[in-house]
Amino acid sequence: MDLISAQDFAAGLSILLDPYVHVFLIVGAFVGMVFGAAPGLTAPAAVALMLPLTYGLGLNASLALLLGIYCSGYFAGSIPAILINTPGTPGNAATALDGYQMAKLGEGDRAITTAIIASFLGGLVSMLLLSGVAPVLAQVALSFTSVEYFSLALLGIVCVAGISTGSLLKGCAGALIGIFISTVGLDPTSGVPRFTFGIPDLLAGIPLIPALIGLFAISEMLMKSFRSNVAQEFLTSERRASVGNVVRDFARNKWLALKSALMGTFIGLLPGTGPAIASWVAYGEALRTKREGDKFGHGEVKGVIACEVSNNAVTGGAMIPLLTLGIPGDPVTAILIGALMIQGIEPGPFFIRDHGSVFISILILLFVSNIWMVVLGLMARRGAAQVVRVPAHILVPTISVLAAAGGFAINSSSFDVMLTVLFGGVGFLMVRYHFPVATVVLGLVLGPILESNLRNALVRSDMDPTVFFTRPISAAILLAIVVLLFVWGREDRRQRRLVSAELGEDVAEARES
Amino acid sequence: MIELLSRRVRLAARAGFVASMALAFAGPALAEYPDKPIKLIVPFAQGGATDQVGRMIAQPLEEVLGTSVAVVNQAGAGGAVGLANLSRARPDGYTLGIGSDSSLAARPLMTESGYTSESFAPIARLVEAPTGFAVASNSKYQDLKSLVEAMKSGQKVTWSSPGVGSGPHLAAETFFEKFGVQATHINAQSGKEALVKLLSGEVDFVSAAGSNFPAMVSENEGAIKVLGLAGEKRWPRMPDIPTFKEEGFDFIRSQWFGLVAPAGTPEDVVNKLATEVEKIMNNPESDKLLANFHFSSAYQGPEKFAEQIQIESKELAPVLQRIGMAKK
Repeated sequence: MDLISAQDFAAGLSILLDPYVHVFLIVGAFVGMVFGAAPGLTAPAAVALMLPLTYGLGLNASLALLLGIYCSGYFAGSIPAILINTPGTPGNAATALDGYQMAKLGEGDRAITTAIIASFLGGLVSMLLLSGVAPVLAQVALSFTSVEYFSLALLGIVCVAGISTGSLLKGCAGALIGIFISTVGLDPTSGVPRFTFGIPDLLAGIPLIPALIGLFAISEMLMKSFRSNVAQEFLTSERRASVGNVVRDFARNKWLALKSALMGTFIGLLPGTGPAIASWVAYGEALRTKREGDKFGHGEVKGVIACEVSNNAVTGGAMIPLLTLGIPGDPVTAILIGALMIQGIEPGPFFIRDHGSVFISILILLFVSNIWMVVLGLMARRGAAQVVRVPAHILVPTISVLAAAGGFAINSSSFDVMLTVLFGGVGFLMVRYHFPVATVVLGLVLGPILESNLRNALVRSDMDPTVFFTRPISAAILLAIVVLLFVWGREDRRQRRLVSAELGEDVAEARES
Repeated sequence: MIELLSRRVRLAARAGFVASMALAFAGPALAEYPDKPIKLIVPFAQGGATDQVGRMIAQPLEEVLGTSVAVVNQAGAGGAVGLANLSRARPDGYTLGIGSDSSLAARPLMTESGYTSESFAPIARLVEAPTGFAVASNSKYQDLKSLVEAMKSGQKVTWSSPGVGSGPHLAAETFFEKFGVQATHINAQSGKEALVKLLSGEVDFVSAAGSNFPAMVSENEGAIKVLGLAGEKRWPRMPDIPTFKEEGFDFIRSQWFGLVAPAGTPEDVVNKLATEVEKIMNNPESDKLLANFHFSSAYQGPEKFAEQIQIESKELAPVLQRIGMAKK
């Protein structure tokens, strides 16, 4: 592969010499830690809130900040999941099943250390896969037309609906709401305004970042201000775990770890999925292959390994479609598009060829940010859980001000601030009635890809829908959709049975919400 | 006596106070423009060509005007969102914006854009690049003539542009109108996406601003062939590419950017800005900067610029009508 020249490689590596890059990686890892650990605040919210700050930073520093948040943010939710049975993000919900039981047995520290190392491994494997798969896929993607892009976006929507972690119907509804919202603005084919109600600001459509900040951050702040401040019961585990013992755990379960990493990467690669789905699928697989003597649901370390390896493996996987097709693999990468565009870089099939050094830099940043995640994680494993104790009267105004500033900064528009608040209200209603908010975001991102490519493909073929079956790659993707739907439809029922048989009805119910 | 004196003193003091207040209020009207920072709305995202043009003009303007010129990016709808905001700003010369051929000449004719052709006081046209058509090097259309012949003969010819309603999209539609040909437009969200469609074979040709071509050609090492540029004469940035005229099609069209203020901005302010911009654009340093992102300096003063907008607007009206984008 002569896509990336030696100079690009050297230029990409030189990012390590920039002290600011390290500063921002650490800041990012710290912010990710805080947002990941605080229930309700997630990595996408952190990345969306921090994005406006990257205007003033250079390319390297802004990528360092955001990728630092990305890796830590997917891990840190496991700390409160383990210590107080309150997952910091939906992606760590499955971790709580065994992690909290371990903490109850006084092994909380071992569980957290396991989660840290698992996250590191997941991030590492997925980064390696990213470095190998992306350049090849970028080559293939050069032959993709609207037909293939449409099929891919459809696959993304089906993934959202098919393996959504909550109610299937509510997941679908969320995705469709997102697609509907994405139709606001100028029609992509005829240029005629739709649903703009004469408001010129709406001509450009609903801007992603303000909508995202509202859906992810404001909604949770509204939820928090409705809940009373309940003091959380911490499980104190005096027993410190030795890292050596934890590493031996991994040596024993290396195949499980590798399998979970591959699953996480693959799920990350599918547009429309994310860490929550990855961790449940990996946990389900660990359950399916359990051996005699495994005590899943009662503090089995394998449960923590499977979940935490897979959810951090999403990071590298989700970058693959982003950097090769311009289609984000998960909610965070949807925002990273914006971050790259601010720096004048358009992700797509030409990204690796035109910006080879940036691609190398991204790989290196992912690797280093995983290291910082381990360092900060080991240092702050107890402290991070204290984030849960930050009282609402401090957290809510702080995040709300940040959210308003973030909503404004993207386009220097007060209209966008109103949208942020409006979407906060929408998000609040969705969280309140257990609709998964992330599916709206994915609908919002995939909707325009779905629509404009469907219409382009049909215009190109004189309205002949068979093009989707006669072009081989598209046909293969459509076939994959059918297979996935079939498999997930069966797996889901079986897993639900398995989970409820193993762990009791309450867990199966927890999964629903 | 003392009382009288003190009363006089008080009176004098009062008069002095009133006078100083009057001066204070009259101050801004008398003071030289500008005496506070200027906001420059760039209606496109950071990092793009328009943004670079905006920043290129903002910095020397700061120097000659002695006040800061803050670039504010308000992207969306091909520049319409930022310009709609500009049209609502106070016309005092402290809010300016960058307009383009499509956003100033075409957008007011389209549905509910939030502003009309009377919303702005044109200050100066800044830069331009000729429109051009490009094909993949292995295309069966190796010159403009064969491409137009194919379109004329009723063959299905597909093309793409940086977006519906963008300058290059409307430029190509104007070309089709003039020479009575038809082609199927496949939409793209950006120039890069249009290029992807060209190289994957999804479309037969792309219409783009000339400023996009030098990078496209060099990055794709021979995979792309520019058939022609619609300049009056050959474009200095790509002297090997023939003009449309040379190829037998009398068609001149460029993508340009210019500085505008909200309508009602005092004439002396507009003129002062135009004079300064002219000096900046004629400076050889600016030309060097412009070469970096492949534009040519194309200064026009307020009247000339307003005329240019009107001419293009008139030309575009029937085109927009035909493609169904005109205001009903």
